[in-house]
Amino acid sequence: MSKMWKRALTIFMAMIMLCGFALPAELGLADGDEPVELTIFMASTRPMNECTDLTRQYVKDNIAVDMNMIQGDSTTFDQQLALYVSGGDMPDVVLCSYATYLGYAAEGAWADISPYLTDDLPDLMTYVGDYWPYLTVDGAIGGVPRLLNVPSSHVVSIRKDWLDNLDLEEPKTLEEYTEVMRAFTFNDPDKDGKNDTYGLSAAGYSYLSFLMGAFGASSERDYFLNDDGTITTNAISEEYRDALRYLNSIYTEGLIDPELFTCTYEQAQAKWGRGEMGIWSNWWSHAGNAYYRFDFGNLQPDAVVTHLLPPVGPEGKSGNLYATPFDAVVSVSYLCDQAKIEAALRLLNFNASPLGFRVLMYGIPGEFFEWDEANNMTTWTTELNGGVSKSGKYTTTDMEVYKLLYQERWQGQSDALYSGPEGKLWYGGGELRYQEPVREDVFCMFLTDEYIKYHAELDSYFKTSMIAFIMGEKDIENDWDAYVAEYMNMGGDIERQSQLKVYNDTFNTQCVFAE
Amino acid sequence: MRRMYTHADKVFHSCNLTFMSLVLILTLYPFWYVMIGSVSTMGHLIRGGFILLPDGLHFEAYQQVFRNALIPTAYRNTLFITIVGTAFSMFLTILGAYVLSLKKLPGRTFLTFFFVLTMLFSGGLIPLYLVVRSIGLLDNIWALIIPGAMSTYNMILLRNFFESIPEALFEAASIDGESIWGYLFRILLPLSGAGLATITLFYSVSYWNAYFESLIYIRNRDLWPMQTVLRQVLQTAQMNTMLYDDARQTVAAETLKDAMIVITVVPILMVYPFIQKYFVKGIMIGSLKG
Repeated sequence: MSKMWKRALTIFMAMIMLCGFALPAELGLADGDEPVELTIFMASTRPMNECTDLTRQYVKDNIAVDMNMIQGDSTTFDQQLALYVSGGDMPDVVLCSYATYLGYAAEGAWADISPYLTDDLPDLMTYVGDYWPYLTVDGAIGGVPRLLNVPSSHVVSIRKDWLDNLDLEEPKTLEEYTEVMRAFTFNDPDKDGKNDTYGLSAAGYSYLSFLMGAFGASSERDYFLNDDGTITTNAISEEYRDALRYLNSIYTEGLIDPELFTCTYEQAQAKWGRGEMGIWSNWWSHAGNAYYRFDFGNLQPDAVVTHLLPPVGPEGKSGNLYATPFDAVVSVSYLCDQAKIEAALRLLNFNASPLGFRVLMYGIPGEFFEWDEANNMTTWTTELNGGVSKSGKYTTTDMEVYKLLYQERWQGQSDALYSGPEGKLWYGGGELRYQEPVREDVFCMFLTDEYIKYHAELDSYFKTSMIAFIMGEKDIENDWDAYVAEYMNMGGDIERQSQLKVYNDTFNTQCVFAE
Repeated sequence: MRRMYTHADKVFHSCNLTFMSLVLILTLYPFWYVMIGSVSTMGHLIRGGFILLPDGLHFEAYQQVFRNALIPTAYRNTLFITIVGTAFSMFLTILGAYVLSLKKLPGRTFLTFFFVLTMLFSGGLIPLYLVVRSIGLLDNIWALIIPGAMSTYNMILLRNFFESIPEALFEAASIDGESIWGYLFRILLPLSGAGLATITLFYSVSYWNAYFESLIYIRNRDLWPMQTVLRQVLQTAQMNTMLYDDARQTVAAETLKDAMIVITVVPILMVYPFIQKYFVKGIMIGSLKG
């Protein structure tokens, strides 16, 4: 071989090696194949524009997947999906609810992706962890769960300045919480000389869970696994009854805003803004939203807001409302061939990776966000540069069009970049979710036929009865037995027995009900 | 001669004027509140109480809406659908109503029943979707016009209107050698201004407000009409207000909703004053027979 040919070959080999090093390994690059187009159908309202087109191109260039997004309407999503299925136009990838996933899985509408779930998808396999059994229907897996992976989404916010005005400490026990609510109601915490405040308000009954947790109960029809292997049915348990007794007592005393049960989110924000309550049980981001969108800083200029852990009850119990581990499934259509299934999983693996998640969440790296080697976001143009990208070429709006999977903790890093009180509350609220104790609802993922049949009616009866007990319209001592009997007769027993059977079958246990 | 009002008349008119003024205020205030809400800060609205004026002019909500890159194309699409769709619908409706208004038409009763039947029983959404798909109208802006081009209700209304015009005119025109088409275009339509204006308004408002069809038939967002885009903007705002996701959205959903109501309602509202005089008259005449 001549010297010239040797040099040329060396240069050629060196260039190939350089190319190999220059590309990030975690992208899972395709081997030069043409990009595979995937039609993705999801209920989404996010605007697509030149910034999101950049994301689409980035994904196309790096993992050879061309994401063709079909945005559906959340209120008519199932209807639209049914039309596509009946018309033979089923999109390749569908982000649907878990119930919808199970329904279509029973009809064989999804491809079986289980043969493709290998170690070549490390980020995806780590992301899903032990949740594959929930996706298995008749031995096949048709999709990937969109995991929330946080114990709870509810937190408690409190007016620290009111505590200071009344010379009170931050409450920890249920007794202390009750004292604080009493003082906030009757001791003029805002010092305006008027009796115009309540101890507690919220947007609906479910936000009372943080108090009910002190009795080992919750505000939903949950099922709790006890240490002795029995399962407690919250809706008819003595713990729940104790919680109702307590709530009835503080309601009767006037410590709770009587409008709590009918209050919407916007109304609760308005009440918080007007300084009508000192404790606000809310979604983890709402106290931050109050500053960011609801003018709280101007409405209550002296306010100091902080988050609290839920109270500890007389027996040492404590907890907030349990968050379902996943609510949606990224499903793959039965019409997909091998190339499309592989492309779909490549995309999901990318979405589950540290870089991929941020690309689908914030846009292309360097232009719209930066992060360090420890996986921490360091800049986010949306926040730090008034929405103008690093090069100044683009003004970002909403960038999450292509995000299919959640990564709550990574997303929370961007909250810390906000300099105002909203950033502290968003980040603090977000992190508090991981510290809050919860009692896991062990049946929440078992949507049996009986559950689907009886759920709506039982739920309605449970809620109306709860509110009636708290407000005193039903007597907790005299009407309790009748309530339990009615609940069980309405299908409560049939429903829970069906779920228990699936639970025992799935986890190979012999659990029985405590009651 | 100037009419002399008695004391009782004066009392009645005073009370009447006061009462009607209150009704007017009660009717107009919600619109006024929406206008105020669209340019006020959230803090101003949250403070509560009776709000008569905004706390300045804050156009962030409008900026949020118009920041959406789809708005210009969506407006163009809506204008196209409204103008072309209304014209097309009127063409079909006039022909249908005219034919059915001819008393000597053979099988007139059966034809009327045939049309009315569609008001009682519809084929259902899935069959309709399959039909639209099979004729290749998916992802085509005509899918927003053709499937619902003719409203039986409007056609019956217009037929009744045509029937209220004396038949002697038709006979006179026939004697003078006027053709059936000539009678329609030269005599019937010029005499039906009120009815036509009313039905035109019905169609244009319905095309202007339509969004569901685009959700089903249109995947390409460049073909979305204004209502679909605005609905998306609002839903995003509500979701983000709840969950915080979009950091750029500093406007509360309530303010955004107000701004969108103004943007959506004002253009079509501006049409009403020009045809109001026909509007009431047209409905009344159409409803007398049937």
